[in-house]
Amino acid sequence: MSSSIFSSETVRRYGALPRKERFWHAAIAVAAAIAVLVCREIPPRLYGTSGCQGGSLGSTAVASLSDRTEVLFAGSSHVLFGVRPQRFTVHAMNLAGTWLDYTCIRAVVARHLHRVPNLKVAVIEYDELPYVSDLVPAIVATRDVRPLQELGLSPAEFPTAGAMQAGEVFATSFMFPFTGLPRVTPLAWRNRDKSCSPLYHPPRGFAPGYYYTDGVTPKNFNAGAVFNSLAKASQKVNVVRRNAAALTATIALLRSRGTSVVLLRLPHARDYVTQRPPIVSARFRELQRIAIAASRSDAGIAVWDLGEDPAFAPADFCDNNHLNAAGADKLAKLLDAPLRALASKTVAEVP
Amino acid sequence: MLFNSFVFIGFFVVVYAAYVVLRHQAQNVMLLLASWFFYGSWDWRFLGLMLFSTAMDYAFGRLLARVQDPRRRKLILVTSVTINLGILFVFKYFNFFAATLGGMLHVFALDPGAPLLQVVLPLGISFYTFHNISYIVDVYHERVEPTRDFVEFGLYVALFPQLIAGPIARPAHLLPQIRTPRRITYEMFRTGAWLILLGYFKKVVLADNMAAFTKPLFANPQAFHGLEVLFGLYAFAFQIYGDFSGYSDIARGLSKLMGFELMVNFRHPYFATNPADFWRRWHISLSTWLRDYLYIPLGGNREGTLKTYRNLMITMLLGGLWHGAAWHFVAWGAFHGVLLCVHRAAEPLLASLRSMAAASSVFVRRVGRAGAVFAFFNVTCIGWLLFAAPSLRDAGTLLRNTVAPALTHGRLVAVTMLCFALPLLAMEWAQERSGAAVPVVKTWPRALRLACYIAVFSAILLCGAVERHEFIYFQF
Repeated sequence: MSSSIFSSETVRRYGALPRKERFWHAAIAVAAAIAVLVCREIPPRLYGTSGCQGGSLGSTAVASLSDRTEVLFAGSSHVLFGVRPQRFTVHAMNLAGTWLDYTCIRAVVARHLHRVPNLKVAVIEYDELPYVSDLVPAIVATRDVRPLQELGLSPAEFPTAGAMQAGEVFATSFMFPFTGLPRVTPLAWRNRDKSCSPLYHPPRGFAPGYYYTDGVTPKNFNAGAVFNSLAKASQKVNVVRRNAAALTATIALLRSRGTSVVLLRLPHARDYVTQRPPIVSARFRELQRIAIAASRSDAGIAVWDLGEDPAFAPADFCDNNHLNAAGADKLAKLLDAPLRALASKTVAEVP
Repeated sequence: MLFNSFVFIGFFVVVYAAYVVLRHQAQNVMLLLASWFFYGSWDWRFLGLMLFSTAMDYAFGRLLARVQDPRRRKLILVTSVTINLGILFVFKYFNFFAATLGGMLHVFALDPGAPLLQVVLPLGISFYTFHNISYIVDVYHERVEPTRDFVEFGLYVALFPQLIAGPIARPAHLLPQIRTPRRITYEMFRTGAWLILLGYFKKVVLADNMAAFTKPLFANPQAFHGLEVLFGLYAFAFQIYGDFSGYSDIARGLSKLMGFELMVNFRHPYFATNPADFWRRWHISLSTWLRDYLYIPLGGNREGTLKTYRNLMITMLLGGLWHGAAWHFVAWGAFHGVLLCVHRAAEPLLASLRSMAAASSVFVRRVGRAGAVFAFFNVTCIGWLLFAAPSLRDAGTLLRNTVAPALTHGRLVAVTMLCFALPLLAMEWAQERSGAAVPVVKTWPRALRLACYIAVFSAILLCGAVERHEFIYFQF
């Protein structure tokens, strides 16, 4: 064998090295192992663990799914902040996460459907964001598997694009005990009050059986950056096609169980549509065509577009596209009656 | 498949496991396939272009081996170089020149409607194009034997540790290592492992933590003033150094584990005292490539003072353009070209200063050198401003804001630099003083060495940026 250090001869020669030399190699290995263990303990002791432990919104929502659940909301951060399930008079639950795309929504819904046997209505967010976004690569890039893991998916269930991405997801998940820790840097120390990942939303409030969070305007909110991300994501034709197919498949899955499907566009601030990049608007129009075609072909599918509903004032938003607590309450009042009506129909009544 | 991704680590483990059990020829074939897979993992379409380029230059090399007529040999050389540069031009520069021409004609109220190509810049195209050109030029000048083996040549072009961002290999250096069975010595393995560890430190601890400060600075130049800009520029200097030299170290380390010796690409560049010294230390594989294949063929410094300045300017302008199709890269090249010319013109004065310094005490000499290092580091940072700012206008804004009243301070950037750049500089200073080619850490007592290994390893675990940042030089 040419690679001499790996030949049996080398192993024999290694064994013949002075004991002192071999002891030195062992010392490096042991010190590295100790360093790994020590490093694991340093950040929690430095920063504390408040706000990072316990159930997050996603995991609590997943844990709360039951045969009482009649309405299920699924979508991105618009749903996470804008829908307060406890405000509805029907038993509702949220399965939502930041930048959740239709492919991930499909995986999450399919994963939990068996736990909600009495589900009457599934409300799926109808927006350009889940249509163009691609969450799994973002998870890999930020090395944070929680957005999907907390919605009940194991790394093996993440909707990955190929074996390589699946490998990255597994490695990301495996290394998360380290990469998930806050960094020991001056910048992280200054931001220690936000030391949990921004994708992590610990419950801010409690109502019997429900957890919710409030949409709060981030200090560094930059609408331009959000639009840039959306515009960039809109250019990925393959991702958009995959998301479109996933939306259609999710609807088909739900309809095959006799569940009514509502495609809900949540309210956006008035300047949102005017500032939206043309390519993103074009993607929304594509989605609109898909939604309208679906609703025309099946009376069990409804499209509720509140995107530019005049009932929502600037004071109802925490930024240009997320509702705040007041806005979420207003939305709940608006949707409660129609959702209750839909949910009260028996399976036989649902066409 | 970035070096700082888990999937790359998995890829390397698999490749390495196969590598160590195979014999020499099979190793080469496996490495070539793995390198193509590595490259194709970004976008399989990039692979097609690289395969075309590889096949073409292999064929031209074979042709040069058979043809003796000087005119025909020259024709083959010119054809190959033209096609290589043509590919580079189409994929990297066409839109830049078309837009520039369109802009110029627009000034004269002409609208040529110059067509822009909808092409993606293939990763590492500048690097492998330079590999190919140096091969064909060296074969033409009979400095290397043209290889008969396509696997050998393919591996010379595509060897994955150095494929995307160098170091730019020379055929006379790399081809013999591919051709002959490689022997991985314990010393190589040890040095390789250390280089990989150091490279990851430079990338994920130094460069990626600096990126948190430099990104907002260059994204919104108007918002920063005074010390914040100055420290931001220092941060970028360390970011680009950590990013690029980190990549080079990892590339060299991985290669050493497989028995390859790649060229040293950085030699403590921020200890340079003048521009000529800087270019002997920064991106050495590019600067020597430009020297050997551009500056010297242009005449170098053999044809009088004015022509030397001209040659320096042409070399540095093209060197700047090599980094990217944008005017700020050209300006960066011109800036360094002017520095080199000024330094050359001031050489008699500098020589007399040096002789004066030689007569003074050791302390004065050391202080003088430290002053020169700091002064030239600041000059380098002005260059980085041109390099990193999205446009020349933004560079101007930042330069103005540096001397504007300091409404904000850059304490956090300064502390971060102290935490991460200072230890690295201290180690480089020790290396600089030792003057040895081997890593200075290997000469330290065992206890100190162990402490150093563990400190670097722990810093990667604790302080390394979690978000995956691409290497800056991938875009070139």
